[in-house]
Formats: sequence, C-alpha cells, structure tokens
Amino acid sequence: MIGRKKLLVEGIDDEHVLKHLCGACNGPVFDEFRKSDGIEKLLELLPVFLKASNEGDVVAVIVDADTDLDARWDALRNRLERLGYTVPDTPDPSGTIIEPPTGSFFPRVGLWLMPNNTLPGILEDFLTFLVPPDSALFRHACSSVDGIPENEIRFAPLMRPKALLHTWLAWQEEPGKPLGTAIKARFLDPHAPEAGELIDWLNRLYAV
Amino acid sequence: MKARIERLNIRNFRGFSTLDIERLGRVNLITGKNNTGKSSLLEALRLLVSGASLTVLLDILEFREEWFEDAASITDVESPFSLSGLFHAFPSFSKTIQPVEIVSEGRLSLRLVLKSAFFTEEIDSEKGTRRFVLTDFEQPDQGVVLPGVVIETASSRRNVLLENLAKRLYSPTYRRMFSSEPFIMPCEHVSSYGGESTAALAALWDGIALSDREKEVVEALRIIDQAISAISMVGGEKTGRKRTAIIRKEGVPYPLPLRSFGDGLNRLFGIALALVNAKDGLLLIDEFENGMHHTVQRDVWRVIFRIAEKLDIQVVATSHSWDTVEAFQEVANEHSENALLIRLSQRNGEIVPTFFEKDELRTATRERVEVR
Repeated sequence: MIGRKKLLVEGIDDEHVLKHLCGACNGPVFDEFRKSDGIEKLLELLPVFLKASNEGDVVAVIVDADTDLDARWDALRNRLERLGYTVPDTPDPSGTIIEPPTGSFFPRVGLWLMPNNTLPGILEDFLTFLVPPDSALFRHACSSVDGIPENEIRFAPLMRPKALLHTWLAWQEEPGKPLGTAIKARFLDPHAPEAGELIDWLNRLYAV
Repeated sequence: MKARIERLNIRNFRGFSTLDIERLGRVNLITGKNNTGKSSLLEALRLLVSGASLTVLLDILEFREEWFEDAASITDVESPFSLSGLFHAFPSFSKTIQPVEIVSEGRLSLRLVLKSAFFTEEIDSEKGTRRFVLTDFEQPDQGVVLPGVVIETASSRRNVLLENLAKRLYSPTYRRMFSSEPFIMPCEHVSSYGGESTAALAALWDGIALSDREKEVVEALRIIDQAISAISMVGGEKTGRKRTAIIRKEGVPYPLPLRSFGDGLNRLFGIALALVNAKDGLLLIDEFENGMHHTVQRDVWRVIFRIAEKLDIQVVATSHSWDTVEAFQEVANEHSENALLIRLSQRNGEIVPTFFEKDELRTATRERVEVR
C-alpha cells in the first residue's frame, strides 16, 4: 500500500485506547493520528481531511454514537455524501467500509460508531466490554456508582460507563491508570470479542 | 461579479495530459508538491491570454532554458524539437504529436491550440509573393518540407516555422516587433525569482507613473518600511546608463537605490507594480513567498485582495509555503471576494486539482491539515 493509514478520532482517550488495543492484538500501525476537539470539530474537519488526503490514503473515523446513533450516522453520512460518497442508510454492525466515489481521488473511508455500531453510547461503553466478565470488583464498582444518592449524581446518564470505568480503575493495584494504559496493563482485556471486531474492521479497511 | 476566467481546461500541455480546473475565484492560490505543474498552470494562462504571443512563448522557453540554440539543425528531424517542452511528455517532432489545447470559460472565453505540422513554400509568381502552407508530407525535406507549428486562437490562425521562431528569438529587431503584440487582456506575470529585469519594471512603471496607482505602489512598499515616502525610476536616457528604481525615505536627504534594500522590498515592488498594471486583467505570481518574511505576507495579501477588487483583476499565485497558506486564508476570510485554494496532486500518474473554499481553509489552517 502506497498511501498512509490515517485515523480520525474525537479526543486523546480514543487515540490512546486505539494505539494500545492495536499494539496488544496485531492491529494496524497507524501512520497518522488526528484528534479533533469533540464531534462538532470532527464533522467540520472530516471533509477537509478527506480532500487533503494523498493517493492511496485510507481514513478510519471513530466517533461516539452518543444518545442518538441514527442522528450521528446521518451527520457523518451527510458530510460524506456531499463529497460524492455512497453511504449506507445504517451502519454495518461489524464496522462500515466505504469505497471512494467512482472517478474521484478521495480515500477509502471506514466508520465506527462507539460502542459497537448498533447501540447508543461512548468509548467507555466499548471499554466495559473489555472488563473481565468475572470481575467481582467491577460488580462492586457498578453497585457503588448505582448507589450514589440521586441528588449527588452530577454526570449525565450517557456518562455512566465513564464514571463506572474510572471508578473501577481507581481501585486497581495501581489506582487511576488512564484508559490506554489500562489495556497495556491488562486490567482491560484486549482479546475480548468486541475488541476483536474493531481490530478486524481496521485490518479489513486498511487491507488494500 | 463572475470571474474573468471561471473554468480552465488544459490538454497535452507540459506535465498535464488532462487538467480540468472546474472553477477559479477572484484570488486563487495554487499549491502542490514539486513537479505537479504549478508554474505550468501559470504558463498556460499566459499563453492563453496572450494568444500565444511569440514574446510570451519565447520568454517561457528561455526561462526554463528549454530553447535549443542549434537553430541550424532545426529542420533535421533527428535534432531536438525546440518546442518539445510545451507538449506533453517531451515528444520528438512529428506530425502526430497530441496538440496542446487550452480553453477558458467565464467572462472571457478563450481557446488556444498549438499543433505540430509540416509546411511547404508556395510561390505566387504573378504577385511575386511566397508563403508557407500546410502539407500532407510526413517527413521533413531540407528546404522543401519544413517543420513548424500552427497556433490557433478563437479569432486567428498562424503558421510558424520552427526556423523562423529561432530567427525571432535571436534577432533583436524581431523581438522588438513582437513585444508590441497586443494581448487579449492585460496579463502581468511575476516570476519566482522576483528580480524582474529593470527594463521590464521600467515599462510597468511608465504605465502608472504619477497616477493614483503609483500611490498604491508606495503604499504597498510601506508594508515593509514605513519610512518610504516616494519611489521613482530614473536614467535610461543614454545608452550605458541603465534605468534604476530609487526610493525616497524619511530622514534621508537623498534618494536611495531600490536594489540597496532587501529582497523583500524588491520582490514587493515587482508584485505591486505588476498588480496595478494588471487592471481589468490577470495577475500571475509564481512562488508568492519568495523573498518575503512571513510577517509581511498578510499585509501583502491585503493589498492584493483590495486592489484586485478595485481594479477588477483576477489573481493566480503559486506557493509551497505554509505561511503563505495561513496568510492567504486569514485575508481571504476578511473579504467577501471569492477566493480559492487549488491544490495540484499526482493521482494515477495524472495531475488533478482539489479545491478548498475559504471556510474549509480556515479549518485546514486551524487543524494544520496539509493542503500544500
């Protein structure tokens, strides 16, 4: 492949998670990481980023589905269709791969909506799939978070998995490791099937 | 208002087998890696709006040192084809070279075709005239069948023998004669070197001396040096005394030669002079950033945008520089004028353009996306 393997994400956590995940399970080595500051900036950047790509480049885009997966998908689809891409109505559950429009020189594009292209949610929803299923500590973290008195809950319902995961990470041998490092330290299991799907999508996407 | 040239289609010219520029704005910045044809694009525009005037043709060939001096061998098919560089992929001379075709649409719809051909001499013994006409012969034949080119524009068709082209290049008389060929519209070109010959600058100066446009030139120079109060060109009345540009600077009781100032000021003088002379026409700047510190580029773009609007000029500049892209972006977004960055890149061995609008450029510079 003559082009570059590019990855466009919303923030630093996504970048670290993807790097460590790919490092732990034979995922691709990225040539360029591009993190924008949140979804609005990413949607603005996406067309410019694609237009500025060089011959043979392939661009993976990973964003949170957030509360409304359909709306997020439409926002992405809209940006891509304006450049002439043909985008399916709904995301492929195993990760979407979109070929460049015929006659254009835009890159091949992959889209992944966290957590799994099917459910609403965020990066941390995906990471909870990587928590060892037999973790009693995680169940304890869950009940702790769920036991927060109602008038003390300061995060939006969407952010529950984030609170959960950081609570759980706060109670490891080395408390407070960031998300990416938690994969490297194997607190989170990079060989979980959901992680395998993501890696498989990236490998299929970049295999040209 | 519609751009003077809104679309440009180029066929078989230099590195372009096919290049379709689907749109052009009032002010355009062309970027791209080396060898993607940024300068060729400017050359195509110069040829088009001059109707392939021989002055422009020879200027282009000389600048690129593509003119083969051995004019004597020009009818020898084995010898290098002196216009080879203008055609796609440096062909040897033959009748079947793919013709160069440059077409524009917009307020100004122009067409230029340059094709190789063989000519024979036709003598009209009654009138006592002779002329060269196209022939079907496939091979040159010394003195009888001669190689040349046909230059077609929307309104004219000229047959030019390669050997005559060579004579014109080396004859000052011919050169003077052809330097007065009228262009279809004003078209000023600032080369990448920036050190335009003093003679070229003098001609531009004479076109605007003591007019309001002279004030614009002084105003532009003040971007670099606030103390500059006037500029003029002197000398040249006697042979041996060259014309030079001189500058009046506050606090200095006598004029100073422009050349004694830095590259930046000399470059800016060239650009400003070309700009105000391009009224109702086209300004082409090759490698905009040359000589100019990044801190002055914004103000230079401001002058270009303002005057381009005022004097109805379409501007096409090239650049390799990130500073230039940033400065262009910033100034473009201050103006309502239609500005465009066009990046040329190699795809599948072809050169293709990508267009970035002002708002896309703002995103690109903020996020440092490579658009050069």
